Amino acid sequence: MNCVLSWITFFPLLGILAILFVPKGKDDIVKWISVGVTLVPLLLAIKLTTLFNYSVGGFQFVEKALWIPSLNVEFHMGIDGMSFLMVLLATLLSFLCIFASWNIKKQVKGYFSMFLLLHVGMLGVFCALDFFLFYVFWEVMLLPMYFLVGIWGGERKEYAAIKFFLYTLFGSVLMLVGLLALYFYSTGPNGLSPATFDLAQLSKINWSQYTLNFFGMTLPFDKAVWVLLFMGFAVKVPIVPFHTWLPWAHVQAPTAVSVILAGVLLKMGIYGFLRINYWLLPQATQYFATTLAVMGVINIVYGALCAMAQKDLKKLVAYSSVSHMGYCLLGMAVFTAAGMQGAILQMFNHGLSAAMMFMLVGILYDRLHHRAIVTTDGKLGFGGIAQKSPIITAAWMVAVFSSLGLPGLNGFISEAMVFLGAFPVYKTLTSVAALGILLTAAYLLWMVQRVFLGPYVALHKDESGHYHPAGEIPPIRWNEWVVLIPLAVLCLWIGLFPQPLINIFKVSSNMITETLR
Amino acid sequence: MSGLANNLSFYLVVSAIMFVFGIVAALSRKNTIGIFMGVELILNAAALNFVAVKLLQTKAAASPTQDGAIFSLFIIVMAAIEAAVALAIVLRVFGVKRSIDPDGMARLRG
Amino acid sequence: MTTNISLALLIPLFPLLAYFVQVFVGKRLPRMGDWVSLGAIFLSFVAASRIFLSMFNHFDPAWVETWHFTWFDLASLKTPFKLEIGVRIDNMSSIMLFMVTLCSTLIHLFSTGYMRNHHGEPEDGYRYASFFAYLSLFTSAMLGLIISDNLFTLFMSWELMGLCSYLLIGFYRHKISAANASLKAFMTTRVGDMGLFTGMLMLFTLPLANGQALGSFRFDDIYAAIQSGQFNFTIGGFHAAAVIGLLIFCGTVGKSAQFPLQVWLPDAMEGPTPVSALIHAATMVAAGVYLILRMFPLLEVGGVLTIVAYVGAFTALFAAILAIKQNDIKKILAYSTLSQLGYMVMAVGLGAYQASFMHLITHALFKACLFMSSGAVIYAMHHEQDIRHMGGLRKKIPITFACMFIATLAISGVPMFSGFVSKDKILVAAYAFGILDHSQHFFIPLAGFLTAGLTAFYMFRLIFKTFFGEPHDHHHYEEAHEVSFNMFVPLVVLAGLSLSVLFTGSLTGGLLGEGDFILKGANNWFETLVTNASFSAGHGEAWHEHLHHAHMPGMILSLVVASIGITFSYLVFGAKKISADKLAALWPSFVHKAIDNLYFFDWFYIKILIQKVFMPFSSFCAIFDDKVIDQGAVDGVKNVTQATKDVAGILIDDVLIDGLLVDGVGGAMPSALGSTLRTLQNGRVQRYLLVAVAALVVVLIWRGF
Repeated sequence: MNCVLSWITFFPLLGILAILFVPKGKDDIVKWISVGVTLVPLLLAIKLTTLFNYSVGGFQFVEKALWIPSLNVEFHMGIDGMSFLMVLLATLLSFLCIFASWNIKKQVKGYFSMFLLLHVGMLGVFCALDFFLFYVFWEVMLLPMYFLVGIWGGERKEYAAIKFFLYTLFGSVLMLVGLLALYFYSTGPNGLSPATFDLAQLSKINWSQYTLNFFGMTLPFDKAVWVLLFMGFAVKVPIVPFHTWLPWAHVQAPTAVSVILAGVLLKMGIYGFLRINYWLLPQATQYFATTLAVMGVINIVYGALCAMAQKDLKKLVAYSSVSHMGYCLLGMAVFTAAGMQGAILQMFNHGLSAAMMFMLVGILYDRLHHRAIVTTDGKLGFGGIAQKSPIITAAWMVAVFSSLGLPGLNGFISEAMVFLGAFPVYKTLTSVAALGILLTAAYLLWMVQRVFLGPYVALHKDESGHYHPAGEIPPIRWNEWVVLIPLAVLCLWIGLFPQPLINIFKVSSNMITETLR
Repeated sequence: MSGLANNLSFYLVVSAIMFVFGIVAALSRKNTIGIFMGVELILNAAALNFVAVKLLQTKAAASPTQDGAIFSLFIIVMAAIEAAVALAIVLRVFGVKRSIDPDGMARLRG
Repeated sequence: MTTNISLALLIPLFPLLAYFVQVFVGKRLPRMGDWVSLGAIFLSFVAASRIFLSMFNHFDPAWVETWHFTWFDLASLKTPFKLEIGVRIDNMSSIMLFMVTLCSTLIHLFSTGYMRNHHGEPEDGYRYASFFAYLSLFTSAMLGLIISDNLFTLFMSWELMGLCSYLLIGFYRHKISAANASLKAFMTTRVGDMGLFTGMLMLFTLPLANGQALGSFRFDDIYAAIQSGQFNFTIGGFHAAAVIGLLIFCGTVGKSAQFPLQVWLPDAMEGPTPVSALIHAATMVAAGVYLILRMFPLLEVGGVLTIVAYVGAFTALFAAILAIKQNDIKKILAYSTLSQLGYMVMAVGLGAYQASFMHLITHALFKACLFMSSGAVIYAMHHEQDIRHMGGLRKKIPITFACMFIATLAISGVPMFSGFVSKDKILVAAYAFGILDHSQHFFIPLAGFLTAGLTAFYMFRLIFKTFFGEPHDHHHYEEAHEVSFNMFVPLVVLAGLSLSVLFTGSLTGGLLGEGDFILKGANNWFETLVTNASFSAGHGEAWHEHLHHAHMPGMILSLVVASIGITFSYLVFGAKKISADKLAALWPSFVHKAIDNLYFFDWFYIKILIQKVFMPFSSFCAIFDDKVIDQGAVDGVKNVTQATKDVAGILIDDVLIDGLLVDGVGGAMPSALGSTLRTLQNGRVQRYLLVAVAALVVVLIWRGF
């Protein structure tokens, strides 16, 4: 199993190559090629669970080679428990999203090539151990995302795509500045020579000894860089007030892209914090911990309140993502074993439940061609779906209850862990965050009530934008089952037996915690 | 070092005369073929310069290079190709316009 | 793992399996799989009976069997952190297990009839299968709650029951009112759950008096910490146990529908009647009481029992008043449930630990009977629920009438029936507490006795209006007929269990002293077994003295108020000697208005809190997000440019840049230059060449040759 991480990351590139040679009109072949090339990384990742050493906190399956000698950039990949969890999540969702994209009709080859490229970017970010490489993958991910939203999106796809692009670019540029600052300062008085991007080496330097002169102000180096990197990741998480790209991107993106966006891309922000900010700049992290916790609580409550008022189903789910990522922030801000592990598990859990919800929004959109809980003229857009389609309703229930933290499903475990970890540190803040549980239940169940319960009054939107009473709702198709079943099973499994999953990242998470305490 | 053959300025003068003739022809002729002849003169003037310089350099230097010869060869080839293409164009233009006055070709759209 | 523990683990497992079977293949099974659920719960009942009997084997008040394992372990080298969950079987949980499995079995049986139409076909197609699936899941969660040895799994089951309650209240999902009621129930109980959860967080994480966090949710650990005085510290100036205890009590307030979160329970009657019987009368709502019984030591140490007692007394009295004016047969029972739950909570607050638990059990049995009887009435009357349209039904449905009558006697506190025994204990405790012990708390016994009278009054009103007198709706009356076998068997069994002899070993229910002539009280098992051996219930020696003194007057008083209630009810509704309308007119109109509007609680919560405060705030957030953050700050780069142009920019933009630079450079110069240079770009090859040569010459001259 040499270079297994490279295989996982780059294997879809072979798929892109193969797709290029598929003749026009053979869309099914393109889809099955995509299934194949995403299945291989998934199987490899699953195989890794047997090879992974769970008792070690450091990096495993490390690959290292000099990439750009003149800048001392290395091709350095490796995973610890936390990134392994993310690799599992990303490979799984990538695979499932191919099935979620089965209905794509427009420029199928282009779509799946972009999707596979996105896979490369995502997996690369989770595996990279060289900051430069990390940044490259981070940007690689941006481009396909732009096209996926901009070409295959909804009515206002261009606006959404540009917004997403500019926002992320804004974050990335600040991150790039931070990255370069770290690089050039790594040859400081008692630093390294030559300058390096290697995260492991950068983490050994005591960054708080430096200062930055910035327009006549003397700033502590580590805190300034922390803020720069923070901005880059905060856009991705997204932390209020850097979140407004998210509803747009989600609403306009095609279903599978929303799934991957909520399921994996948002986690990169949190992952970035933990991998870069926490690891390289521990003192600054401690300094900013309370800020982070406050932001987390704001995310939870504010996101939930915004979700409550949404009239668009997908926007509601998008804001619920904002709210749920707040639990991650709160959990990781407290540096306790339970909080940190809760945050990491919450990433995974939210990946499952949000993916499921976006898939289900897509399923409804597919059938009724709109997403309005309440239409502009004040009628219920769905209303009573449960009468006609009990299966879709049941799947929604699983997603909704997983999301609102019902015991027995995954969300509860991670939220309880976050709360148990956070409460001894921030009592008031955590109590306010507990309000989020209530609000989450309120907006989700209110949505369920308006969408699924009551008499059947669902509307169908035709091409000219007019609503008509909808007829029968087609049943769930096989490709949709393929997406929903694994997610639902995982939700239940983690809800009942969390320990196997916790074991994956327990040791590495505790290592992060202990260096910070 | 005596004799006309060894004096670079003779070559250059001849070349300059050819060049000026070429320029004048290219500027003044009301016939496209004539303009091309002028251009040929300019090119050959340049080629003559290369050959002359190469000749003298071969005699003077310890390790002579063949750059000059190669350049003049290129120029000849280029000139031939150019003439071929240009004449073909001229023929087509004549076919359309029944004239090869360059001023009549101001309208480049076909 | 002992036999009892293994059995206890199996008990919730059977219905859980049945749930999964029902969800996935239920509708394809013969009879839509109702026998799967029924069989599973019957197996649980058998196992629970086994544990119940082994309790008599031990016959030891301190009998406890526990078993636990680590569910998840997040420990790092430096900080231990693990969550242990397990099973705890003691006298209380084995009685509770027996009661819940019994009720649930009977209600499953009843549902096999009730959920079918009069031709014996399942109503609403496959929903019949989901109904049994939900019932099974609910029962499983309830049983999981009972066997929990820790707050964490208790909370998990608690929430799962909330889910099932949500699903079952909204079972008739084409009805908007059902959807609203289910949402209301889930959200209202969640408000309480937040308190419970916060209390649990405090319990688990706060450093105790010895500086160590408890780090466990297990009851054993909590009790041990309480006994060693570890909760003697303050949170925000209050005693820690008081704060935590009250927060945990919030959970009870939500789940057991106590004041001020009582609003959801009457609406929950939107669910099918067997559900109302199982969840909203017998078991789930009692889980709140079970929780504070488990957490009794904490409440006691915290000294917040009096608050609990007041909440219970309030609920008991005000719900009983509401019940008088209801006309929907299920609503009457719903308010009576509220009232009885208030009794139980009040009893916990009085320190009458056994009385509360006993009332929990007796109430569950007779209330399940009452609800199912009402279900049978409704079924017989073709889904007519208004008692004004009933009357004279005793001749048509005699078995149902007999069962319901027995249960009514029980709830009214008539001797020889179970309700008398348990309610009497509560009232005696209230008498001792509020009259003998602390006369400043006279409200509690006052509310207790008033409620007893009112209960008898409105329950007999129900009986008289439904079963006696002349039929008011002849069409329905003629069609009414006795329900089938599977529906009346549960009624008969539960009516039989409403006899006091089963609890006290005495035919009169201890009316003539401690165990009377039959068994001499030797079989007074409930009293003996349900004592929390480690904690003296109540308030010390003086309390026991008072309790003893209160026994006689309390009992007589309770008998008197009950008989007044029944007599009065007979005079008004049975014999019609007193006009009900005149009686109603005695009260000023604001009383009627308050009762009709349920004391304005719903109005306050929905119209004010949610519609006037909460929803506008959330809309504000969404608009703020859209207009200020999104379009304001983010598209702000653009806005700033525009603003600059609008204000100071008029000068710079219009005059300087537009006027001089743009118009000058971009307008005048190009036109001048353009007209000159245009002549160059004329397509004439020779002109181009000329320019080139001229340029060459210029360059050569410039270089100075």
